Amino acid sequence: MTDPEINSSNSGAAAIIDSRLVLSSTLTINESSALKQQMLKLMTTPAPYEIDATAVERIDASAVQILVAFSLDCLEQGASFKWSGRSEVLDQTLELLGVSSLVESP
Amino acid sequence: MGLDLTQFHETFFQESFEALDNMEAALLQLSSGEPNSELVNTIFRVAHSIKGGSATFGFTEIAAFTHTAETLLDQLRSGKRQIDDKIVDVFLRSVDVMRGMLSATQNHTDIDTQQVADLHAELEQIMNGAVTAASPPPVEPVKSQVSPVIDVPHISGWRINFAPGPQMMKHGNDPVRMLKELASLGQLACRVNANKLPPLADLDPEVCQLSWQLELRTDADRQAIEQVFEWAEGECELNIEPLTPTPSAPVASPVSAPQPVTTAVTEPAPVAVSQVTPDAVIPVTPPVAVASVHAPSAPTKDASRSPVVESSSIRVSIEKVDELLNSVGELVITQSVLSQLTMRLEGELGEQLKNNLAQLERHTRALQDSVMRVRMLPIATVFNRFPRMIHELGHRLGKKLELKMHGDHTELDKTVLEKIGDPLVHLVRNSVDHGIEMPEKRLASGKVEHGTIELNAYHKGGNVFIEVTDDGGGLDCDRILSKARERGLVGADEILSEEEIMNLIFMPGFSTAEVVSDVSGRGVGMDVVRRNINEIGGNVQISSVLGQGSTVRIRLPLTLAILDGQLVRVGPEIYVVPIVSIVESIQIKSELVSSVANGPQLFRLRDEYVPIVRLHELFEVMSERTPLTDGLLMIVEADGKRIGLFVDELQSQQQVVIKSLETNFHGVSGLSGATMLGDGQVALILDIPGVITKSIRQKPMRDIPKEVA
Repeated sequence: MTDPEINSSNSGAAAIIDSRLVLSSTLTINESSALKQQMLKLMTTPAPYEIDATAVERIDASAVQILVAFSLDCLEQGASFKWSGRSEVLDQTLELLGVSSLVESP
Repeated sequence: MGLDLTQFHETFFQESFEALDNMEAALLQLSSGEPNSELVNTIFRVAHSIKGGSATFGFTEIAAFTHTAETLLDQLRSGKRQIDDKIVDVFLRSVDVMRGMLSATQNHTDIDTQQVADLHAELEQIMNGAVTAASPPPVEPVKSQVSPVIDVPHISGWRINFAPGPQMMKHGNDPVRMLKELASLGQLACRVNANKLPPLADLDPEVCQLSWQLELRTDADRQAIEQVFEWAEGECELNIEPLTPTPSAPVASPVSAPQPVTTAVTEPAPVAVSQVTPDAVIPVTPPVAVASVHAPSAPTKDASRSPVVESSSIRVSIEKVDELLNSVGELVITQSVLSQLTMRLEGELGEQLKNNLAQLERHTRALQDSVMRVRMLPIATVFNRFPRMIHELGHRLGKKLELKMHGDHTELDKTVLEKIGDPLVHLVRNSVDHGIEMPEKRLASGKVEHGTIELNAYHKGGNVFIEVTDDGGGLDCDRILSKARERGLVGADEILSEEEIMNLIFMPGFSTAEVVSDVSGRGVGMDVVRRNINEIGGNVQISSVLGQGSTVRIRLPLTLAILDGQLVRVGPEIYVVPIVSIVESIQIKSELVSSVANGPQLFRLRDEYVPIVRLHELFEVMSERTPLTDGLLMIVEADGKRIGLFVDELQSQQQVVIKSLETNFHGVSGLSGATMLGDGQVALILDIPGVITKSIRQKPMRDIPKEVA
């Protein structure tokens, strides 16, 4: 078990709790830098990673491409991750942009 | 972070108001004629772009309402629902509601939420197939609202290559919104290209590194597709090609399994803006990602910009145009001053200078004309409101009406246009209310059942004429006269010509309508109409044949910035009299002048008496010629009243550039502005209606003048 004191961080876009990244409800271009930093931080923790996206209510393309880049990074590095939940809005948006298959864990 | 979108609000509002005008016009065409898919598409596009824009700017109430309207329109467009009068009516009211919401948002006032909610509910009721309680049963039953299968293989569509540029997302253009809008136009198949996407650590999250190859199966036209991307014009690479019709095997597309059709149309829940619209989701196919993982992350090259829509016009604020016009006005004056100065120059150099100045004058006038034309707008912007008005008046009054409009491309100055709208509305209402008879009465008098209102605009001799003609009952001169006598507007034994009798309807407080309706008949109106038209330098005449109809003819100046004027001298001062107001100028014969006790002197002009107004007395300037027989009498007319202006002499006629007194000094009664003449002298421009009022108020009391007696 890792120390939550060390591994817990919250940026407004997402929060890392014990190697699990919890995405916020709004993920737009305004939150994208913070989201990117949180995802990079997540990748410094031991894989497999877990992403909880049940709260996502609004997401734009800038945030979607971060998820895609993260997923492709994992693919390259042979790391795995899993979604512990995805909101309907997120699913619909991923499908709309044609990236659903790109954000599945290898 | 990001861009301040508020700078685009004004443009959005302007475009939306214009688009709503188009929507209204299309709806009215729909209501009167055969179902026309192009019209429905036009209406749909308007709702669609207002929805998109308002969602972008966060005007959630507008977006939610237009979304519902759009969904219903989509049902009409796809033929799932029949268009009937009731639906057209609901959409017409939706136009009003959308206008109201836009105005409220624009002016930062409160939206009438009750009205919006009521109509929203009504739209949803229709979508759910319910019949609105308050309305009569529809002429034909509404078709079932859900059509089970999309079996339209014949529809073509568009292949769209879309690659956002580096600035696009920073400027608030989100591909999610664009793709959503595309999906709402038809069946969207989507391939993403992620091969430019760098590793996360190198990714600039504000620059979209994904691009898309899309196939949209739709009957929407290219313009509709381009509209989706119009906000991102110049900020993305976009290539739109028609899909070759290969009905059964879509190219490279994984779509072909029958798509379950959403029943979203029956869901009454208002759609939050941020949600993906249901119909956007269903047709989207499982994506084929052609991501070749992480190309070496080269720095993003600047996407070569290809504008989405070639724009052939730009929006310029009217202040800028006026500033330009003002500068050109100054230039014209300076040029005139120069011309006058060089008159005295002699010799070869002087000649050369004169020749070149003549050329300068031509160019300056051409420049002035061009700038003036920038302010010109087609009268269609005013005419556009009438189809709707006629439609509603017809319903309200139970009359059958047809509207014909001619010359709606006739252009006139924006300021004139703005001021002519209300008087025209009044005239048209009057024609419908007083002119056109009830259908049964028309049939009884051997006319066709529906009355015709004709609006006609044309240029003639430097003026614009607008005519409002109806084929109704015409003016009943006897009735007008007796009414006028009853009200004491005309003396019991006064004899009036037919023209004078007709002109009585422009008198304040005059109405022959038996019943005062909410349309007209209160007797306020025609006098206001005439006053408003006079205020913008125009005049109005009426002609009518009993039993056959009436025509009201309005004459307007092309512009308010320049004026055709007659220069007159009074002592040392030069005044400009608008030529439009001048009836004639005559030398005074003393035997034609008479005086009324305690009243003004009167000049007998053929068979009428015209009060003489001495301009030098009115404006308190020294005159050289006090005896009436020395000077000239200029008969001027406004509001149907005539006076004779006594002036020292007539000078040239010329076009003068009007300078506002209100802006540069302050308003003075009897004067409408000032101008600068070629010799640099300032001349005041007379406001004839003002002069008449002023002269009546001053009521020069004089004994029988010695010079006449």
